[in-house]
Amino acid sequence: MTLPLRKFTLYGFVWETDYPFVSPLTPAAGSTQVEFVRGYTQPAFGNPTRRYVSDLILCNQPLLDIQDSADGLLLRYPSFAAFTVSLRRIQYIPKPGGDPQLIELHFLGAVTALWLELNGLPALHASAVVVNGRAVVFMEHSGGGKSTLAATFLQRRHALLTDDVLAVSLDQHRAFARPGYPQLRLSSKVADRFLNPAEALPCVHPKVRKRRIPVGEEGIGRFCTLATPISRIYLPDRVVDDNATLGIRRLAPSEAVIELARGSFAARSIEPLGLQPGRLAALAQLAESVTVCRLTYPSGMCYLGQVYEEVMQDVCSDSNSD
Amino acid sequence: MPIKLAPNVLLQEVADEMVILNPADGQYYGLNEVGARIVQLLQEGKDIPSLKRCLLNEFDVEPDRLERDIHALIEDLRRHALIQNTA
Repeated sequence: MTLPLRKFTLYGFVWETDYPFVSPLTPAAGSTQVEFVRGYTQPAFGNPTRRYVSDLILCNQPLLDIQDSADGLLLRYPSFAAFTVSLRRIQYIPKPGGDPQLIELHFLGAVTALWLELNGLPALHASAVVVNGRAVVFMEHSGGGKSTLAATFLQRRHALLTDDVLAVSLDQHRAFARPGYPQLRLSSKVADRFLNPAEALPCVHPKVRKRRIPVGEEGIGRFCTLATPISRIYLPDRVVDDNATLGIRRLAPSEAVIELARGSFAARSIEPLGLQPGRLAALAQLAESVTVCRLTYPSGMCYLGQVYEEVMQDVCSDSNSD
Repeated sequence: MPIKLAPNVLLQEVADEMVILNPADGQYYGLNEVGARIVQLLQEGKDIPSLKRCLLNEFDVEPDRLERDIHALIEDLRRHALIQNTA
């Protein structure tokens, strides 16, 4: 059976796909650069050339293992699907009886992040918004507050560049944040603050408490479709203490590189794939062209306005000195 | 005793500093300007006395203080299996 094809842009590439995405991907025209299409041949199981095995165990099996295959890297999620990943083509092979919704969830996360890394683009676990024509990045693992901070900026008329996976491209002097897709993922409690009532919004997945928050006319804020030079990368550090002081501290270059390496979306699978030397050099270039700061603030929605003001003041101090 | 960096250790210079990655355990280590220079000189095969001479020429530092810092860093690098004896 052949599925209808459509084109979309993601991280600056034109993709062609037969997958029925639920997420609002930006439609595209022009020549296809990458395919995301269904494969019909089940990959071999138990291949001895495994290059990475996840520590996370699901139904007595690792959540993910990665091995070489004739079609590129084979990313095997035993519970629902496998993906073959090469530079110009990603295939998804659903597992019979597996949960098909997980394919999209993982494609727009770990699979795309690894694909970006294979293409030489560092993929950070981060959200990014546009302030005065420059990208402001919040890099943190899940639950760290990066999407909430992005939503705080969207509510104040700034545009979203990406949520969760940030693709970074580098030229000789600058680093650019490439646009993802116009959606935020927020917990119901947090979403209620930005878009009431959040209960009407669909869940990311029946087993995931986060909701899909559309970005644009039918949701919150607006979306930027252009790669944007990065001005700051903040590492949010929420402190559960009402007496905690709001503060921004610039990191030394070596400290910044280490944090960027730790904040990579596919940090654990990169090393066994031999990608580390090239990307460490790329992260050093990123740390030299962008200011990386730790952003400490008290936990609580009531403080988000103050965090916004502090970040704006910090970012605009650059504009004033330009 | 002559020392050298452990095999497979990755070094990355950034500004005047350096990041070391030990792929064996996935740990990263950051070095300031002086620490980065010490590792550069070790990479060039310098022994401790010539390394010390180089640094005294390049940095405004008391010899005793420098000697303590060199030995502290080398002990640290050894403890994290980032260097090894050459003989």
